[in-house]
Amino acid sequence: MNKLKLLPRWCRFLGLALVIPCIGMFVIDPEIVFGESTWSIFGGDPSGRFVVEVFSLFDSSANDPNLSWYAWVKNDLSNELMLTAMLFGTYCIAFAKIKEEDEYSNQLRLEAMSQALVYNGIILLIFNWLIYDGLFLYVMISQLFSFLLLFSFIFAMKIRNQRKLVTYEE
Amino acid sequence: MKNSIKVERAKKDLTQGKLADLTGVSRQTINAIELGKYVPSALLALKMAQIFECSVEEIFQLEEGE
Repeated sequence: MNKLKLLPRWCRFLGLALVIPCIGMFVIDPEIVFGESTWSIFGGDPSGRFVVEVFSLFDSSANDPNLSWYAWVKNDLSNELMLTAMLFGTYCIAFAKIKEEDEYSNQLRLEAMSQALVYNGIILLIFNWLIYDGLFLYVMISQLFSFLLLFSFIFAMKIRNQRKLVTYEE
Repeated sequence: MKNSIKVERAKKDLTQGKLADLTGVSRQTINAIELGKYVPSALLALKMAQIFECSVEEIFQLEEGE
């Protein structure tokens, strides 16, 4: 049967192990997404212990409004690490195989994906009219993962409901 | 689309679980098909017909307006 190419089942647990700490850290200190209050939640040096010189495609300093190409800049990598963990984690959760993978689960996956797309759009539209200025940056950042998280949640609910239904049949 | 899987299962004395094993899908899938919540692929329908030793049309029938 033509099955979707999916990640092994253990990837779901790896994804959860990556996503849950990231969400936890964000809840404790939302500023962490900007890499400025790095690890202050752990009582560390607020200037950040992940500040290293990195390669940047573009660079602009406060004094010079012009962009320059290919610069080496000092940057706190904590938010980049967090974004990588969140992206990798959410993809692992969303595209890991379930226990019994077959054509019906593929159908449920498709339904969950289309529903997540609609709900994500509605949430964005509501926040667009309720959250303004700098705070909207958090909405934009959350939109990077919200679709995959919503999809994973809706799909898990569909599978759970289907399993529940089966126990009462036959 | 209506189907007579339940009847055919009873004739062959097959449980949903056993039919699921024979067709290579989950029990949830067989349950969803029986309830009319999911229309199976042609491959799965043909497999079922083979197991029940009848034609696909005998198991699956179009409803009026379909």
